[in-house]
Amino acid sequence: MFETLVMMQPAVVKMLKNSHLKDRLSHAYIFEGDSGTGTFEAALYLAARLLCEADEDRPCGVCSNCRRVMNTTHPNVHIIRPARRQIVKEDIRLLQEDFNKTALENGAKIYIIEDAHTMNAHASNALLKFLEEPHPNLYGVLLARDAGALLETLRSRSQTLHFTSMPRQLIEKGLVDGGYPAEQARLAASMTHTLAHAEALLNEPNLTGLLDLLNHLHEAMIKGKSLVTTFHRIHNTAIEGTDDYERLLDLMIRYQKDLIYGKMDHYGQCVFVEDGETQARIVAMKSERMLLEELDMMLELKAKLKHYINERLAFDNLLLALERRMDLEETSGRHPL
Amino acid sequence: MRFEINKDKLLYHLIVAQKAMSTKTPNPALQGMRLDVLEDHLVITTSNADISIQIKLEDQSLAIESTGSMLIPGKYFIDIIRKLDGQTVTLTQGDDTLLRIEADHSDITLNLLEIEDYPNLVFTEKEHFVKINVRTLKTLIRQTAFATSSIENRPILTGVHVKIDGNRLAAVATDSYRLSQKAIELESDYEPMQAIIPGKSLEELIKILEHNQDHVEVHFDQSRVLFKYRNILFLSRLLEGNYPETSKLIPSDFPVRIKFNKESLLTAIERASLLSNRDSSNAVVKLALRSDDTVEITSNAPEIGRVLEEVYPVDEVEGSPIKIAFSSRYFLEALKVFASSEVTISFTGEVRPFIMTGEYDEDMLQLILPVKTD
Amino acid sequence: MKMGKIRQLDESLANMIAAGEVVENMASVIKELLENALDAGAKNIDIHVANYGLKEIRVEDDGEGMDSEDLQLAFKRHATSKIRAHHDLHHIVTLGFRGEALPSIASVSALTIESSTGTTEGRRMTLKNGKVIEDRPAPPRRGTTILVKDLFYNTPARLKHLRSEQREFAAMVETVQHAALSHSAVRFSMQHNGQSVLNTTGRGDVLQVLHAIYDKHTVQHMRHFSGKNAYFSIEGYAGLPTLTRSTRKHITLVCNQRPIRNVAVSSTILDAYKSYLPIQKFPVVHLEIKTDPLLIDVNIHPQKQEIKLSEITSLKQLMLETFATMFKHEQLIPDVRKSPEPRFSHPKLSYQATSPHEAMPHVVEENDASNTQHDERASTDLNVEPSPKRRIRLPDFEYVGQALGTYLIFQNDEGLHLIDQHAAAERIRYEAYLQAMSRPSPTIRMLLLPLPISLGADEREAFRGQAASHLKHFGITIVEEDGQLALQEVPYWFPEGQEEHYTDQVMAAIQEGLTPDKATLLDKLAIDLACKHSIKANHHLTRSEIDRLMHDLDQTHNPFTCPHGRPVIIRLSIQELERFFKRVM
Repeated sequence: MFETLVMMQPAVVKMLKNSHLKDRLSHAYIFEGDSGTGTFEAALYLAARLLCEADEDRPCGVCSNCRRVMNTTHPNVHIIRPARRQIVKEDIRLLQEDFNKTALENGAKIYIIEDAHTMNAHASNALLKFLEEPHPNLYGVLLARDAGALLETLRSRSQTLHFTSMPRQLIEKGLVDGGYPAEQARLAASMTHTLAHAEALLNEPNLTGLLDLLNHLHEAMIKGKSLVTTFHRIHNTAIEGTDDYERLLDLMIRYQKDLIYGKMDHYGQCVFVEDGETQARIVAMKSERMLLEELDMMLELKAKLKHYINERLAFDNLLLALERRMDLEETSGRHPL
Repeated sequence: MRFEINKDKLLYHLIVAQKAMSTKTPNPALQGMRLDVLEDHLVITTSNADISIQIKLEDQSLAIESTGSMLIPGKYFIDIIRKLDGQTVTLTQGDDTLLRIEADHSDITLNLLEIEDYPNLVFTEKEHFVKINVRTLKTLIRQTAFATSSIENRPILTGVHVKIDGNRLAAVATDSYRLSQKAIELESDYEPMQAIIPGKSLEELIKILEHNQDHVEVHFDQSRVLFKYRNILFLSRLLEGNYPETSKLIPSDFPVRIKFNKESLLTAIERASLLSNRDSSNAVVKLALRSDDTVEITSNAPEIGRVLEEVYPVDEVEGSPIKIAFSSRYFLEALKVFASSEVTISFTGEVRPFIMTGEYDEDMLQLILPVKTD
Repeated sequence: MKMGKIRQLDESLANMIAAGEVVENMASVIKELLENALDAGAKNIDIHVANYGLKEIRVEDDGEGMDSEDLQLAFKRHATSKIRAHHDLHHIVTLGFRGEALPSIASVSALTIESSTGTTEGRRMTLKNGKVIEDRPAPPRRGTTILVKDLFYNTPARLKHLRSEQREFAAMVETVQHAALSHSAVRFSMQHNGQSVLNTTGRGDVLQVLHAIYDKHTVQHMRHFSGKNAYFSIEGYAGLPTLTRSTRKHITLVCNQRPIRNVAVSSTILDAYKSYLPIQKFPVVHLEIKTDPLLIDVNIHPQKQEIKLSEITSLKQLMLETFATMFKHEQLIPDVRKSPEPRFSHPKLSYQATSPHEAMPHVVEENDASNTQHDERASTDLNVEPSPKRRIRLPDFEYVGQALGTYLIFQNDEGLHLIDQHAAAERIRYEAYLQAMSRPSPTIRMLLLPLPISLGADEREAFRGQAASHLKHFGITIVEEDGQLALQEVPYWFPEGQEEHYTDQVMAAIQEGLTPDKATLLDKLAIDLACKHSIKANHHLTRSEIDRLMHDLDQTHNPFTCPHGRPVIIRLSIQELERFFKRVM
């Protein structure tokens, strides 16, 4: 029980364990980390730690309390998650109503708020008020991707523990162990934070199509052909929905990073290892400053994609910009070929 | 596990247990009914977290072949038992996950819930407990619990404050717009203690108490209160926190006292509250004592109309003319809990709380805050 | 040699452009011709129409004209002078770009074109059936004249499809009006059978164009507005809320000098007006948007009017802010005549189904525009209660059921009526609260145990100062015990359990100090509170709750809109239902 958590977040587990032993647990925690980093498991770990009937330095995992914590059926553990993309005041009110009464079972009471950043202002304020009242033997854990998205006053009343994403090498190894080809594993590991997300990426039916599209674009680039025309000629094969634009952009960004590493002779950092020859040619075509500027343009577009924009137009615009820069390079005579 | 029992006997107890069963809890285990089959009796347990009920079922029709425990989907179980033909029902636990119900020509299997997930409920009886007559307890609850707040913004006011000192038990409830207070005498002396019991729990409790001269044992604990009535254990969580000191809020000096016939006052106020704009339960009604000692009850809804009722006090009136306005709902709710046929209303001033007392309602008072109008 | 201005689009590019017939009706012909003229930089455009355009349409401009080579090329399909390379698809600064116009028009009419750049001899060509039947030199008068005769003579099917002559003509006039509005610096004149239809001065004054289109009264009731943010700048004229029309046709949108259609933009305008207009009434607005052409995608409909805008949220926000500022400014002018508060002008319900297009009951203002100056709401008089006889009633209908936990369905011989239960409850509470708050001395509820409330430092300060007396005025009394503030008295109408929340709202409203005008403060407060505390959507109502709701709704002074101006009730007429099911066509 909790083996994965202990492996993934040894520091957090150690910290919680020591605080418990020294009776210095905080009454409110913020577990900050990307999904898949084990924040929810850690919250259950803390609950099990507090309620476990066995006298050990870790939850025994076999007593009724531990088992019910793991099944999320323990009456002293109250879990809130956004029902419709938001946690509203009513959710906090129900929590309050429950904790204003004595516990159904003996022992600590724990509440866990998943996606705490989705609390609206009313909910946050209600929670704040609740945190300010003394409630002996009551512990709260707020899970959030980014603690900064929570009310400052909530943060100041809580202790924040940061959950690190899984090291890339571990994800890569996990993928290879799972039977994925090494190149793909390397690519996916470089673009995600967790094994589950990396696997999801590799299982994306469109991935091959997008990679093909990327190849064609690079070929066009080397041959001095129009990127926009190339893109419009073949994009239908890979781009189906608007999400695909974002995926393609992610791949382009990743590739651009490769190019920059290539320029700096850090080939070891490269991800698209199979593509060495094409990369070398593009690297030879462009200056480091250019590559960095291009990366900036891509990242800028990535930020814009979060808003409601015309993806196709925006994408054309990026390709056009890249293409025009090639023209520019040509006329200014810096073209090395 | 296997036993057989008289079907109606079983159903009767299931219906009692159902009162604590939850239908809309996030915890699916609480939708279950726990059944423990022991050597010579059954134990039925239900809980909705706030209240829990445990029934010990011993009956001559009960024939136990083998013991065991299981968590049965409560609603289906009760519906099935209710519809069965025949006198006797046989229950068998097939394996860990199935319950077989046989009666007459029926043979039904029901998927069981995971008993491991059921809360660990503590129905421990104490060595020292308070003994109260059933009828007295029911009256006490009926006269106080209605005045608790149904709104959670001050959680502590959703409970009835119960305080024991010597042979006296006092209960107070208020939602801060009215207050109700009742004290009873106990048969012996007890150590001082107090608890805040959720009003909703008490309202559920009186549903399972019959109207007789039996006794209820009340077992107090730091975090729970357990009522034992015959073979039923009724467990409630308590409200945490300190109950506000209410005794200072009750006026003691009353320049005006008027005694009414309860029924005629009640109907006059009810008629006056009919003409309310949108919510007849919340009409503002005015009471005025005229100099001829007649009492005028009026209400006025500009767009609908106006009511005037004259009520004659039953005794000589103490004090000078006074005019006071209040919410009809609080007034009527308070008036209705009196057992006395004559009720005295005592006033301190036009914008001061007033109280109701009754000759045959010993140690009970109802307090209401007036409404300020122009 | 100087390259001709018109280039033929290379084939791949031409295919990239969604193919589509350009010439659908008379209006699209005039639209293409006007765009050509404007694109040529014309300063004066004269339009002559004979017999609703079926006989003849003549457009004469003084733009830069075409040389011989251009003119010849102009009749090839997909010739256009506007697109240089396909990159430029993204920079559609000029109006049209398809180059399909002339050949398309020529294929369905007898078309004569005479053009000269002014420096050299001009050329005159006439085409019929797509073939050149006349080609001769013309005088070197700068500009282009295009004459379209016998439109659709060779496509009788198309001719049959046209709507009535009058409606076709009305659409043509509208097209010219839009062009004139979007190019106020160009002089337009339009004549039909020799009679003047529209004359603008071309002095760059939009208001003058509006005057030419509408009338003096309209222009007097329009106000200038402008606003700007990172992506967009907007400018234009908006009619005061008293200036209403029964169709949304009088909202004209211009984006980068091109008349456009965009649902999001026009509905944002309606949003900005929503609490000011009676239902089924629309404002008169002329809005010009300027933005980076990159944010526009016009390539989605051959008519080029329907456009897609990126960053639309940012535009919406800018529009709402700009309109709000304008309305606020208007409110400060103590001229009752301009009072933008027709919310309390009591519209009368009429059920004549004048047009089957309109799904809602028509609310006709009882007072016509000339009477609105007597709008009793415009004064600061708090007595907003009108005499009962002016109350409007709900139609008689029979309850059918509740749908989606949100809408109540009723029927009568007019058709189906849908009531938004939340909006209905909001309207009821709004009026009740406003009435309760407006009483000179409120009925007050006292608390036995003062209810502790949490206030921010600034609110505490405010409470110690002026705010306390304001609160008192509302019937709220706050006491301070050991540094803790607590409610001791609240208005009787505060619902139990909401005392603190409502006090917060009142406090916030007072602090914002929005306006010294108590009526406005009360109104805003009533709206906010009514919304917060009404039945939410997704809540099933019992039959008695529904009866109560309908009874209360019927008691309100305006049961047709919620305080935010959204409709409470909409109607699906029998005619419409029948059309949906193709029982009638």
